[in-house]
Amino acid sequence: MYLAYTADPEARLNLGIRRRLAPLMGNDRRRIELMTALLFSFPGTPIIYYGDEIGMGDNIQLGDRHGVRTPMQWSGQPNAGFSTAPPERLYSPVISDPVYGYQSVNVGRQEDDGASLLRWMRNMVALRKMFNVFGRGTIEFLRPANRKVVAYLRRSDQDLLLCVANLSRVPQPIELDLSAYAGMTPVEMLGYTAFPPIGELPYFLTLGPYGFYWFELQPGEA
Amino acid sequence: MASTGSSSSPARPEADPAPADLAVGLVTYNHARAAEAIGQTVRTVLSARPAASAHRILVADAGSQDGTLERLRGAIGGGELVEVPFTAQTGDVLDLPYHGMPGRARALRAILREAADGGAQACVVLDAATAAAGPAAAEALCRAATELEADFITPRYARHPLSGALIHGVVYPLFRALYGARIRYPAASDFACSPRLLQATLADPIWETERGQSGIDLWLSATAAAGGFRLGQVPVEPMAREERDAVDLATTVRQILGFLFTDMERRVPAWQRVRGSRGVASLGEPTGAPAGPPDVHVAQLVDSFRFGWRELQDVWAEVLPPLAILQWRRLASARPDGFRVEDALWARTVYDFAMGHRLRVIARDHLLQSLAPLYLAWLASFAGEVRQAPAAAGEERIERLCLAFETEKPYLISLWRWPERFRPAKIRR
Repeated sequence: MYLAYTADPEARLNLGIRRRLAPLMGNDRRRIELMTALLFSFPGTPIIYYGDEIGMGDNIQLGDRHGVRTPMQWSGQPNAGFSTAPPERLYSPVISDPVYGYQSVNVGRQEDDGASLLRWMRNMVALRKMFNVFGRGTIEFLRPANRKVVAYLRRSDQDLLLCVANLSRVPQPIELDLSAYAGMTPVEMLGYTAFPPIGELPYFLTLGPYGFYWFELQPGEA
Repeated sequence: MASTGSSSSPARPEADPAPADLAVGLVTYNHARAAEAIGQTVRTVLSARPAASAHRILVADAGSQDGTLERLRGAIGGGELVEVPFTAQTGDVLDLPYHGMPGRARALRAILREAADGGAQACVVLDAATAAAGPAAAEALCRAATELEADFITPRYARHPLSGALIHGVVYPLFRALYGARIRYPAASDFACSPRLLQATLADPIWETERGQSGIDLWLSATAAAGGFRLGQVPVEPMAREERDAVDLATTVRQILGFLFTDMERRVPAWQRVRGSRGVASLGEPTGAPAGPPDVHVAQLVDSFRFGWRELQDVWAEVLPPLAILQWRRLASARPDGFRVEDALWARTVYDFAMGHRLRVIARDHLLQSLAPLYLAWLASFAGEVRQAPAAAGEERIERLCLAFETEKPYLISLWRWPERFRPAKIRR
């Protein structure tokens, strides 16, 4: 963990890492989405730290964990729209660097942008809420030969989902043994696109860099 | 808050009623002229039942001022008639729903609650107009309530495809695609239901809401279909229906589709899991030929659509994608004799309006009413195809339309799950 995520030693604190998700992921939108998709598709209740839904940055110079306690960036207004108090009276200074600063990363701006992380996050939350199986279903990891891809099944009385995620920065092929589900049709959940039905042969997929799929496995046509 | 005349019913028995096998409910509103016929229907139906069976006749009147209740008492027999009190609201009468029954949901709940409290094994609710038209529908429903093991039974009216075309062209295909149940008349105001369905629905707040007063029948159908209840259908012979005060098309579209679209938002997990559709248990096959086609003037319908195109294309552009706008524009210049609206275009148009409604791209009422000319275009196309065809061919045509709605449903789900994909021709900033 330290090797991968704390190139800057100041990011370490005690046994943890005091960073927000976006800086941890190098502000790479694909990696942020991948981590969120993994979080949302695992059992239990996912928790998103405030500001991570818009890709807010941090300020690890502030000491202790204060670097991730900066004011929520609501808008491009003074104090990021968080408060009308004079800036020097804020509990913590707002993030104002060129990459993560409130002028560019804020809720108001992302509300207006159909391709923003906030809109993406909102749709993913809605989708996850629609399927209780994400929170309460069983999880069964598959064992593909390609170790750069993680694949698992989520199952409840009502639903059967297949989640596949490419943890690598380059495209990956994967063959999954889904013969137990022969005849079913994987329907990609975000776009609601039906993929080819599952047969007896290994099911072949390719995933782009840090790509992921969520599939509903639907019964075949009668 | 106003109170209807029925809230101080003199005919309501004071003692607890004896358990009844069957409760027959009537919702009335200014049906004095039809009271004798309604009474005749009820007497005919109940006299045909086994002597050992017990029944109750429940009536909830929505505040008739023409002496409906007095005449009904005379027609049915005051001793047998249980007038169920309910509290109507002033607004019920001011905004008359398309079905012509103010406060219908409140009245209906009063009947259903009385039936449930009375321990009825089945409750048959009759639309006053249907009952006035003869005993066929009532008999069929009562028989089905006894013989079919179903929680919710609706009539399958024998109607010409051009009669009630809004049902054939939008309500039935959309309902069927959403909930996967082939309930041919999901907005029927005649139905039979089981105690199980009553138990599941009576506590819902919908009965008191404003939207519930116009859409309660659709709501019951959707609840039964989406809730896994056993469904049944019973063919009903052709009959002449009492003419009602006509509500204009735009208002009807606004009320019916407004209800369906709003209801969709509350049942997302249910309808997004449904693929295709399944048949509904039926007691018998449709018999008898429906009456001939009503007067439909294709050229006038096309003219109405063209007028709508001129006046409303800016509104449509806020809902429909560029390709659909292009297709409708072509249709606006098409000749009436070859006027055809493709099923896929119509299905997607309805789905786009559902999305526009959900996202509130413009005022919802305005949006819904603007669909009326597009519906008239579809109707012109449909009429051109089925006007001269036998009834069976009309049903086949409706079946093809339903399949198109089912085929295009992934388009709706895709938009619904990712609203940013909803990209109408004109995007409001």
